[in-house]
Order: sequence, then C-alpha cells, then structure tokens
Amino acid sequence: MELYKSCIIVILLLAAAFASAQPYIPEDPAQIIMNIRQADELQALKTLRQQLGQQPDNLALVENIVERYISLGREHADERYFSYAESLLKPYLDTARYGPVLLLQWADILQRQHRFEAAVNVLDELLQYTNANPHAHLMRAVIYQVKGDYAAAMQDCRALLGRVDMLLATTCIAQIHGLQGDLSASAALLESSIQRYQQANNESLAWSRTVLAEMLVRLGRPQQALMYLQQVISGSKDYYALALMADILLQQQRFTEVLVLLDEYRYVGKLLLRYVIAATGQQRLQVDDERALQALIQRMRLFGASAHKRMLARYYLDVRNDSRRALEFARHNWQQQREPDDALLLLRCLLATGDLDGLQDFIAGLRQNGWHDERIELLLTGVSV
Amino acid sequence: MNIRICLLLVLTCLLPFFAHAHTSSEAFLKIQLDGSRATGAWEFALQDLENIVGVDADGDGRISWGDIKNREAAIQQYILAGIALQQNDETCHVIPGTTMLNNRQDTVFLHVPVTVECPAMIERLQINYDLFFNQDIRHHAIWLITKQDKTFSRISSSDNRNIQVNLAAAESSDGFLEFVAQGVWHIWIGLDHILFLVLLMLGVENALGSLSPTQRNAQRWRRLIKTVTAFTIAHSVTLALATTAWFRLPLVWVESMIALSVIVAGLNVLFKWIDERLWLFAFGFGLIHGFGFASVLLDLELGQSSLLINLLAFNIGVESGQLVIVAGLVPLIIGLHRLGTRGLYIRHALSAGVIMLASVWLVQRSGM
Repeated sequence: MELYKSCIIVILLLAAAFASAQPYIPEDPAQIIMNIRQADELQALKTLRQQLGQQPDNLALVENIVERYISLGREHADERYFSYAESLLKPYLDTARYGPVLLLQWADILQRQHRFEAAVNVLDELLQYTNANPHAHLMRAVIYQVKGDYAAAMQDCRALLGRVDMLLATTCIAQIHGLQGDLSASAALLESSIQRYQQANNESLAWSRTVLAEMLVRLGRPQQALMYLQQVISGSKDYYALALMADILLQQQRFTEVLVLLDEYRYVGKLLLRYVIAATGQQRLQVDDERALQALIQRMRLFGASAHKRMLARYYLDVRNDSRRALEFARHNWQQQREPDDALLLLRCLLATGDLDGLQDFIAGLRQNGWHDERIELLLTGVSV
Repeated sequence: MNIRICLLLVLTCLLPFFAHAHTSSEAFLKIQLDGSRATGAWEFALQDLENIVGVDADGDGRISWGDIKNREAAIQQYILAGIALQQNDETCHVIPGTTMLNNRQDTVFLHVPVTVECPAMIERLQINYDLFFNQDIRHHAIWLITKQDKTFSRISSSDNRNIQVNLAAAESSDGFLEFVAQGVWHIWIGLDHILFLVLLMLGVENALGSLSPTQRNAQRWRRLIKTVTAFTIAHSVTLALATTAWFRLPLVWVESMIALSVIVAGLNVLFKWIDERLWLFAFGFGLIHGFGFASVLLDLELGQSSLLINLLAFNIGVESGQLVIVAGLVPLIIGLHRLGTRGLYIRHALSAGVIMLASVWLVQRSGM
C-alpha cells in the first residue's frame, strides 16, 4: 500500500503544477499586474494620434508618430510597434500621400520584417524621387549586402561619398570589400578610420565598430572584436552588438560570461536564444527560459517562419540537437540572407548532418567568392572536402 | 527632417537588421460548442488592451487589478463590438463572464469567460473578428473550436477577418491521424524508449528465474502487463501534464535521465536488483520518459491551442507503437529463456551492450 500511496503523491504533486497555470482573480485591487514600459511615450503617442484624427493631412505628424513607434519597437524588441507604424502609414501610401521620409520609414519597416525585395522596390522609388538621398542609399546598400549582391551594394556605398560623414561612407565600402576577398586590408582601413574620426557622431561610430568587430572575428581575432563591441554597448543598448558578443563568447565556451552579459536582455528573442544555449552548455537551464524560448519558436513557426529562419536553424542546431531540421532552415535562410554568419550556420548544419556532398558544393561556392573566415577554416580542419 | 535625426533613424534601424524583435500581438479564443450554445474563454494581451482601449486610467504607468476592474465594462464593450458570431447568417448572442487573468510566459492576458447563444443548433459557424487591426495590422487571433470529439483551429488576421467553420461537414479534426502517426513514429525511432522497454521485459523474465516453470508461465503475463502498463500510465500522465499544463523540466535533464533509466534497467538485468517491484521502477522512470515525448509533441507545433485532441492522438500512437513492440518481443524473450544458460548469456550480453550505448548517450546529453 505504501507504494500506491507514494505514486498517488507524485501524481498529486504534478497535478498541482498543472493547476497553477489556471486563470485567476487577484484578491487585492491594489495589486500591480503590469508595469507599462515607456508609459509616458505611449501616452504622448496616443495624444498625437488624436491630433492626427483631427488633421489627417498633416504628413509631418504622421512621420513623427511613425518614427516614434519604430523607436519603441526597436527599444523594446516588440514587433507590435512596427505593426502600429505600418498600420498608420499604409493608408497614406495607398492614397499616394507621401514624401521621401515616409517612404524611407516604410522601407525600414519592410526590411525589419525581412521583406527585402519590397524594401528595395520602395527605396528604388524613393531614389527616383530624390536622387541624392544618402539614407536610402545606405539602407539599400545594407540590404544588398545581406542578400549577397556586392556589386549593387558597392554602388550604393560609393553614392554616399561626399554626402555623409567620411566614417560612414568608409565603413560601407570597407564592409563590402571585406566580403569580396580583401578582408584584412579592409579591416585595417576601418580600424584606422575609426581612430581618425573619433569625433564622428556616436551612431556612425557604433556602426563602424560593429562592422569592424565582425571582420575581426572572421580574421580570427575575437579578443579585439570583443573590445570594440564593448565600446558599442557601453554607449547604448545595442541588441545586435550584444548578440555578436554572445556568439564570440559561445564559440569560446565562455558560458558564464554569456549568462551575465545577457541576463537582463532575455526579453529579446535572439538574445534569449543565446542565453539558453549558454545555460544549456553550463547545465543551468531554467524551466522558465526554456519554456519562453519554446513558445517563441512555436510562434515564429506559426506566423513568421520566413523571417526568422536563421534563428530557427540556430535553435534546432544548438538547443535541440536536431541537425536535420536545422539544416532545412539554414538552407532556406541562405536563399534569403548571405551574411558570414549565415554561411557559418549552414556549414555547421551540413557538418552536423554529415552531408558531405552538400558541404563540398557549398565550400566551393564560398571559395569562389574569395570569402575569408577563420571560423569556417577552423570548422573544416580535419574534414576532407 | 534634420539630417542628424534622419541619420540616427537610418543607422540604428539599419545596423543590419539588428533588433529582430519577436514579441508580437496575439489573442487566444477557445469555444466549446454544445447544441445551440457554446462556452469558452477568450484571452487578450493586457498590453494590447492598454495600447488600444486604455486600461491605465490614472496614467501612473502601472496597471493594477483595480484599474482593470474599473475598465472592465469598456473592455468588454470593445471586445463584443469587434467579434460577431453567426450560425448560418443568424446572429448569436455573446455573454461575457467575470474577467480574470492568465499568464502565458511573462505576458499577462485578460481571460474573459464567454457564453454564446445561437438561435439554432450550431452547424455552420461564421466568425467576424475585427479587434486591434485598426491600429495593429499584424495582430492575430487564434481560434480553437471544439464540438464533441472534433477540434478545429482557425486564425483570424487583418487579411482574413471572416472565417467559417463547417461543423456538420465531414471535415475531420485537423491532423488527428497525423498526430497518431507521429506518436507511432516517435516510439519507433526513439531508440532510448524502445531499449528501456526491452530491458524492462528482460528484467521481468530474469526475475521469474527463481520460480517453478508453472508459476513462471502464470506470473510472466501478469508481471509483463503490470510493468508495461505502469510505464504507459506514468508517461501518459507526464506527457499530458507537460503539453497542456506548462509544467516542464529542462530538456537536458530529461534526456540525461532517460539515458540513465536505460543504464539502470540494464544493470538490473545483470544484477537482478529489482524483481517483483519492477513495475514501480517502470512507473518512476515512465514519468520522465513522458517529458521526453512531450518535447517531441511540442515540436510539432500545435501551439497552446489545439493541444488536447492532438495529445490524445499522439498518445494513442505512442501506445500502439509500443504494443507492437511488446507483442513482437514476447516470443523472442520466451525463446531466449528456453535456451537456458546460453539464453542467460545472451540476455546479459545484450544488456551490457545497451548499457554501454546508454552511457555514451548520458555523457553526450549531459555534457559531462
């Protein structure tokens, strides 16, 4: 009988865990249910929307609101605000009431949703409209770079010369050069430019340092890369730089440092993923984190699989050890995005699944482009391709 | 626009797609149909309601339960105005219950119980959902509609505000068979589960060794059934808990424990630690194996919505796959037994091999 009793206790304990996930009614009316992040800004935006209701043709007001929603979305890594911005500007686009700023904002939202073709089309239109718009050139250059169209990207980078600060134009050009086989020279150029243009504005400096850090990683100099990224994140909250730092640390199996670095940023999906990878490596994975990540992945697969293939591939490869599924996503991702990290990911998936034929073709393609990446060389050590 | 501001805008956004945000806006709506009535619960993210309807009336940047209660009527009014249900073009009446809260991960949802009354038996349900889209073109509502044993899931979006569910038609619950198949498949490809089962059966046979032949035949079936059933019940329980109830254990731990269970079951065949109480051992580790199954089921991405019916399907699949394995193995095990000492050696050699394999798994999975 004792045994039956202990079985029943186990079941009851598990049932209690089940019960705790049920809907509830708080007892105390004063109990705080949610803190609203940036409540003042949201309140200000509500007032602005009301104003817009009264003067719907005030384009400057639309641009102002859209811009502030985009900032909110970026700040909180909350897609909902990009959608608010999109919903707001859509009627203006549909009725041809727009200027260059609104078009640029539209392109920005599109590229955030990984709708690259559409974003490029909008930028094309914008550049026809006002030929010398450096922001449009810069955004288009970056999209072309992500898609692996370096000739087109370089054209846009060159169009920046003389129109924006030197550091920005140099960074754009050096980044593309670096991807075309001239990595160490490009990194050296960028490094000395950063030294020379210390007075450049913070945003330009942050971008240049991030691009340089990416190059240094590929050159096999992760420590220096970390130093530049540290400078970026000490200046502002930059999720991209944080993800990059985490990746470098993960590669060196410095899991504890990743956990410390990302602890307060677990609300950002891509950072949560890296946090979970580190926690798994350290065997300190918390149920809540794992659960949050699983929910996120389910949601991504349900609504936005096309936009998040890189992350899905990474999840299946590094968290679930399911290299087959990871490879599927990594391949699709490669059709869409061709940055060094995309290549590295696809390569890791190919190696993990032991797809040697696929590996050979892929490596041949990379070598043809003169692609230099020490991380890839390291992975290929001992593999005969 | 000032060039500096514009640059800031472009640069920060540009930094190649830096912040891939992943929080987005979803609502979860469940209804269960019964004749001309339906009951259920609709859940909306508190953040959406705050942004679009306004909940924080005192504007202090914090939403208290009191704030929600004060705005309850306005919120319900907003929801009812935005969702219209019809049975065959005749309007159904929606009656909201008392507002509650529910936490999904770290997001707070308002949980509104609803009763729906239609003029006739609900057979062709038309749903018009038009909440939040005005301000949030990418909002989604996930519907889970059940009628007796059938479950239908639908998604409302800004491009697809009208959805229809034809309950009378032969439309089967989405993918039920697929989940059965997944369950069978999982037990078949889940080598660790199969090996555990095999070792359990060998363990039963081993424990019979001390009995007389007649007793042995009588006991064999009783003990086999008891052990396999204990394993089944245990993993069904945890599978159900893990998939429906948000009660989960870290995957690394679960998978390592599964490997460990195989090792222990193997050692038991070698050293005969446990005899009559093998079923209890099967039950204990069965609980852990259930969490392992759950991770597969969760991977098939049913979200939170269409779980129950799929869970059942998956479990049916797992059990039938398991049954086939057991049925196939029994004659082999009896055959081994007839070989006498040689059979014993074979059993021990098998167990030793499996123990070694499982030890490799344990090291790999736990990262030792």
